[in-house]
Amino acid sequence: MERRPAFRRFPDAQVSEEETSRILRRDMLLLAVVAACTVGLFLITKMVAARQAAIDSRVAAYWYADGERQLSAGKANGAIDSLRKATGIDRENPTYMLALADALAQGNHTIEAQQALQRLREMEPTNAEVNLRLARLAAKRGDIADAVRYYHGSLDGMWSGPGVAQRRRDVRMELIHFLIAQHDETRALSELLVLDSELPDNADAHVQTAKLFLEEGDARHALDDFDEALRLDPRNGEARAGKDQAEQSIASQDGGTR
Amino acid sequence: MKVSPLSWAQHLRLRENQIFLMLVVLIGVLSGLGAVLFTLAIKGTTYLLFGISPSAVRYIVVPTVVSFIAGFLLKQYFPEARGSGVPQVEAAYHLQNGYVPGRVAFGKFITGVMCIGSGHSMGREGPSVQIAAGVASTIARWFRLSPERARTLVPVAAAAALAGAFNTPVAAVLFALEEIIGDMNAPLIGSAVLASVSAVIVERSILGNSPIFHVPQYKLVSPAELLAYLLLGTVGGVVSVAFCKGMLYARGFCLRLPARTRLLQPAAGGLLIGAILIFYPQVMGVGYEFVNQALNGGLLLKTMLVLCAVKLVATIISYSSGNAGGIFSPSLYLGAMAGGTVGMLVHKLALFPAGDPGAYALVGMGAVFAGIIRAPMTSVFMIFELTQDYQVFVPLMVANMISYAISRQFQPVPLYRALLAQDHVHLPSAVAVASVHHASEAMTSEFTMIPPDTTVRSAEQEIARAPARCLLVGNDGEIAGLITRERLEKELHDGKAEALLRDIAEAEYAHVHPDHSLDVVIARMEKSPGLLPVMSRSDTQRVLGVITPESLAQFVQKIWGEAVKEIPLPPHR
Repeated sequence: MERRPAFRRFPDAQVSEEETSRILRRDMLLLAVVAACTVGLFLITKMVAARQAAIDSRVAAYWYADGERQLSAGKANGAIDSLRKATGIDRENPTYMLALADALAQGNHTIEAQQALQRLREMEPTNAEVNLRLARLAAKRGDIADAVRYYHGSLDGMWSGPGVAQRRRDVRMELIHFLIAQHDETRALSELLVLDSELPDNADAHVQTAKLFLEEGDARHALDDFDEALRLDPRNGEARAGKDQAEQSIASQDGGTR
Repeated sequence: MKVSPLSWAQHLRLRENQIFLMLVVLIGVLSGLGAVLFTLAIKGTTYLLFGISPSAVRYIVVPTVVSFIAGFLLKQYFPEARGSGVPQVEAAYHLQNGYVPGRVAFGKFITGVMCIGSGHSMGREGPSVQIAAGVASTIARWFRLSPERARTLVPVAAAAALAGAFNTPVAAVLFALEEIIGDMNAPLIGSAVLASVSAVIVERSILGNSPIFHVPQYKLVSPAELLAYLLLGTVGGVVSVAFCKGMLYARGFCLRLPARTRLLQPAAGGLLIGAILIFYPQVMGVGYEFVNQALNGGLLLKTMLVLCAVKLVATIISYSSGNAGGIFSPSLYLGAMAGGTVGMLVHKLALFPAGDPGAYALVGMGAVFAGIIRAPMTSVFMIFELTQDYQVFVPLMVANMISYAISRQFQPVPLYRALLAQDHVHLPSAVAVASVHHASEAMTSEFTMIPPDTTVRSAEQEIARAPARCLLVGNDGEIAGLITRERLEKELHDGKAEALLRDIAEAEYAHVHPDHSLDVVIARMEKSPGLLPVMSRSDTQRVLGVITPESLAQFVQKIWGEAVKEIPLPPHR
C-alpha cells in the first residue's frame, strides 16, 4: 500500500491573523455542512428503517398465515418452520410467538415451547393466554405447583377480545378438572366455590358446576345449583335428574350420620 | 489588540481541539447511521433479490450474477473494498496515518450490500468499520486536521461503527483498542467511548431497543459444569483453527491463480454459495436469526453440527473468492452452533446436572470469536453485554482462554494479520513488541561522555568526529546533562568558544530506565534530541547505556524478522 501525504499540519508559527480567521471561518462552515448532512442522513435512515419495518411486517405476516394454515392442517413441523421465520423477522410480536409456542407444543417440542412462552411471559407477565398455555404445559408434565400458579396467573391476567368472563370460567373449570385428576379434592372444592359465585344466570353452567360438586361429594352445593338451574329452566331434564341424585346423596349422608 | 503570530498558531491549535471533540461526536453519529443504513440495505436487497420463498434456480442465479457485477466493481474501481475491512483499517491506521479514501467507503457500502445481500455467508460488522473509517478519514481531510488527529479518528470511527452494527458499545470500544490499535492503554479511549455512545443512541433511536439476540438467562447449574466449558473451549479452539487455516489456504490458492481470473473469482464463489444455499439456506448472509434459534434451543443436535460445518465452508468460499464482507458474524454463528452442539451432548451424556444448550451456544460464540478474531477481552465483554449477567463471566473466560490458547498455538499469526500478509502488508505491531521488550534490550552500552569542564570548541571537535547529534556530559558514568550539536554551533557562532559545557549543558532531558517498555522508549525518544540515556533506578545520575534511533531500529528489525511465518503467501505482485 502506498503512503500518501494527505494532511496539512498547522504550522507552529508564521500564521497571520487573516489566515487564522479564514481557517476558522472555513472550519465553522464545514462543521455546519457536516452537521446538516448528518441530520439529513439521519432522516433518510429513519425513513428507510420505517419502510423496511413495513416490509418485514408483511413478510412476517405471510409466514404467520402459512404457519397457522399448516398448524390447522395438523402439519406441526411445517408450521414450526414457518412460524420460526415469522418470529425471526418480527421478534416482538406476541401473536406470532404464541402461535409458535402452540405449534411447538403440538409438535412435542415441549421444552422449546416452554422457553418461548416464558419469554413471552417476561414481556407480558399478566397475559392470560400465555399463562394458560404455560399452565397446560406444566399440567402435561405433572407439575402441580407450576400448573396451579400459571392457571391462577391466567385467571387473574388480562384477556383480550370478547367473552372474557366465560373464558375465565372455562379456565377455572379446566383447573378444577386438573385438580380432580390429581386427587387434590380440597383445592378443587375451593375453586368450585369460587366458580359457583361467578356463575351467570344460565341453567347449563349451574348444571355443570353442580355435577362437579356432586363428583367431589358436596351434595348440598350441588343441590343448590341444580335448584338454581331448574329455576332458570324448569324443563331442564339434566337438572331434574341431578337434583334427585343430589337429594339421594344428602339423604344417604344424613342416614349414615344418624 | 496586537497578537503575535505564534499566539495565533496556538489559538488555531486550541480550535483544533474543540473541533476534534465535535467531530468525534459527529463521526460517532455518522458511523452509527452508516452501520444502520448498511444493515437495512442488506436486508432490503435480500428481499428484493430472493423474495419470500426463493426457488432453487434463484438460489443459484442471484449470487452468481450479483457477485459477477460486484467482482467487476471490486476489480475495476474498489480493490481495497474486498474482504472484511478490518485488516484494511488496521493497515491504514498503522501504515498510512489513518488515510482511507472516501471512495473506499462508498465502494465498500455498494459491494458489501451486493455480496451479503445476494446470499454470501459474510458479516456486516467489518464492512461497517471500513465504511466508518473512510468517512472519518475524509472528514479529517476536509478539516485539514493534523496527521495525529486524523489517525486517531479512524479507530474512534471503528468503535462507533461496531457499536452501531452490533449494539454493544463497551465491546466496540475494546475492539478498537484491542484489534485496530493493538493497545488497551491507548489514550484515545475517551474519544472512542464518546463516539461509541453516540452511535448506539442513534442506532437505538432508529431501530429501537430490541437486542440483536434474545439471550436465555444464564445459569451455571453445577461447578462441575466448568469441565464442560473446558471441553467447549477446546472445541471452540479447534473450530477457530480449522476456520483460520482453511481461510488462509483457500485465499492463498485463489490469490495464486492467474490475475485474469480475478474478475471471475467472486462469481465462481457465488455459484458455489448458490449450490450450498439450495440445501442449507440457513447459512445465507449474516444468519443471526439462526444464532437466535441456537441460543434458545430451537435447533436439533444434528442440525447445529451440520450448520457449523456448512457455515465454515461457505464463509471460506465467500471470503476467499474475493467478495466484500466480514468474518465477525460468521465467527459468532460458528461459535453458537459449535457451542449448542456441545451443550446438547453435555445435556445428554454428562453425569452432572447441566444448563440449557442455549447457554453453551452463548459461551461458544465468545470462545470461537476469541479464537478467530483474537480479541479475548472484546469477546468477554461482548457476551457480557448481550447477557448483562455476571454469572457468565467465569465459564466464558474459561472457554475463551482455552480457545484462544489453542488458536494461538496452531495459528501463531492472527487471522486479520495473516490476511494482510497475503496482500504483502506487514503490520508493525510495535505495541505487541513494546509490551514484552524493555529499554535494556534496545540500549547500547557503548557511548561517549564528555567531561563538564570541556570547552565548547573541544566539544564541537569531539562531536564532529562522532556521527551523533548529541553527546552526554558527565564524568565516570555520572551524567550532568546533554549537549546537542545545534547548541554547540550556536555557542560558537555567538563567540563563546571557551565556555564550559557544565554551564550550557541541558540539565533537563528525556531519559528512561532499563525496565521501561518499548512504547515508553518510543514516546520519550520523540522528546529527546536523538539520544536517550538509560539511567539506573537506584542511582538516577548513573548512565547504564543509551538508545539512539539507529539502535532502536536495529532492535525492532531483529524482532520483526521472525514475525511472519508459515502463512500461505501468493507470489509477490
